[in-house]
Amino acid sequence: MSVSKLTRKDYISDVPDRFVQLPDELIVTILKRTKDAKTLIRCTIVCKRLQCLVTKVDSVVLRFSYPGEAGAYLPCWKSHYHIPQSAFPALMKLFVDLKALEIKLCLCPSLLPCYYGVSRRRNSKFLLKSVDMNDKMHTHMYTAFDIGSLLGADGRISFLESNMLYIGDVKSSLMLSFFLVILCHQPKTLRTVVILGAENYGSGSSGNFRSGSQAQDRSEGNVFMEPEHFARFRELSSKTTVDENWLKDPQNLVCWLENHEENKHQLAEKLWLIHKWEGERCNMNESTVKKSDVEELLRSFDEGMDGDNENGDFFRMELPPAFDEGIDGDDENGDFFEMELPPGFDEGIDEDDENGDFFDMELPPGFDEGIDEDDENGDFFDMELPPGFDEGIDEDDENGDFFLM
Amino acid sequence: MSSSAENPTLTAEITKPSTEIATETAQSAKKITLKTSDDQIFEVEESVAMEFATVKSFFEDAPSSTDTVPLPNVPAKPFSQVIEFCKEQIKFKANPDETEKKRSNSEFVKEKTNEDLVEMIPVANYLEIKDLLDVLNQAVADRIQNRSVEYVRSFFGIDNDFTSEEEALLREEHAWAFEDVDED
Repeated sequence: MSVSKLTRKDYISDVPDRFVQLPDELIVTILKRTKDAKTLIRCTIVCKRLQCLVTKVDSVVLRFSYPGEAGAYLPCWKSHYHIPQSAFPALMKLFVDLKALEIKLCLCPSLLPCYYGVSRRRNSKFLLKSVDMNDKMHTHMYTAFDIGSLLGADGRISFLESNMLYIGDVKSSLMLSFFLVILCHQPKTLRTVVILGAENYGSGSSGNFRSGSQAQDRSEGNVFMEPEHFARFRELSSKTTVDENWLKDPQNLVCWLENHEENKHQLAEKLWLIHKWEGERCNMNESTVKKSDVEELLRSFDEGMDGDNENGDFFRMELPPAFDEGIDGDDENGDFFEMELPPGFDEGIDEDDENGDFFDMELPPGFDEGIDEDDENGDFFDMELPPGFDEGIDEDDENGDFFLM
Repeated sequence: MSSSAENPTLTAEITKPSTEIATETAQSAKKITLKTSDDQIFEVEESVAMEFATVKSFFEDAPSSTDTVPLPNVPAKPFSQVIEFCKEQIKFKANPDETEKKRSNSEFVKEKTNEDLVEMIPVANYLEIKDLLDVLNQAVADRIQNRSVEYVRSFFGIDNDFTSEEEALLREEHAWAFEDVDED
């Protein structure tokens, strides 16, 4: 092969136009590597050849801000560029060969105050991954919330309860709405969808995932529990002394990712509450979380959110100077957490989702109104949803073929 | 990106490639003679030439060959830069250090002009130097990221073949994507 290749002359090397000499597949590779829908769209009007090659890009990453409305593409902490949500249908029409779609959701701080139920001191992660979109559409989804710290003193561990709210329900559905919109507009070629959402808008020790401890000797590992684990822990610790060995029993938690650095002898672990749902099409049920799930979740963020972050880790980001003040200042009147919460909101954690019906249980109040009523202002749900979409949400999706239509 | 990238930094190697390389590697390893499309003769160390998968398999097919290897699709200018890259790469083969390699790679692309980068891509592709191709593709992607349409045209040396009506229509269709352009 090599001999013939060496003697064959594929390129006319003295043609001045260096663009002509680039093979199509290499241009497509370069376009993919920009990982930026905005750049790709600009390339469509550079010339006809490039326009054609852009449509051959089969994986794109789109970054939106949320909670978004009315085509808003408001800034997040990192000043990322956010695509207006109204541009989504046109984007899906452009990338006719799209196989893999990744959505990154950035929480928009300016919308935070009106977004009830979100504790601003806490950290959360959301991952939805759907594969085999053209067939069984196996989907799994995790939400993890940092709910406080497990502190150890004199061999006894206690839970330092912060101003915490159990907000998994509200937030996972908000992010889920992106998934529903994708389903409405997806090109037929689409095989996998990943949606990542994370926030980190706390200050000080609660704000950093892996580093940045204020107290030098604090261990700052991460403990992941399912709601049942946490309920058991709370019950037990109210009656008796719970010691560190309790955390070492795998029955009591999902996993404990310890910080093995030296001199970190004082136990101060961040406690995460993690949920998992899993299923085919939209028949998603709660599922047991395993250690490998936690690892998958964390890995997705290492790759997904940090990839374009030159300054290092997403979770180690530096907050703008005015930011801490903003939070602490606002917090002083303490009324943020007293905003109206839906009834039964903080009990969410203790109640088991007995019938396991994801869509029936987890949608926040007002979710379906969002679809029916808020439409006038041309918001997110304005993009044509399939007929029967809101019935699908209100009623039980018994046959599980909701998304088949 | 950096403005230095636009300044041409052509090295002496381009005008007299064979002498320069020959003196550097005076008595040591076996050398391979390569002839570019513009009839420049390059003598490179065997270990460097073996970085070019295309050349490597040429010698696998004809191990005893001592002839000059013709590279009909490779002009001398980008080729001398490709050699420069491969010489650096070899150092990391003996002594793998990912951080240092990354730094060296980014240093390499940083001092290249847009034209250099684009001209090296077909050469790296033809010679099947995967690492270099990766580095170049990423460098080009980074340089066109969030730039204006006009910048991308001049970057690749592309003539606009849309009518102004067509272009206006396309701009209107995705108006949001033409805001907040990075300065050229």
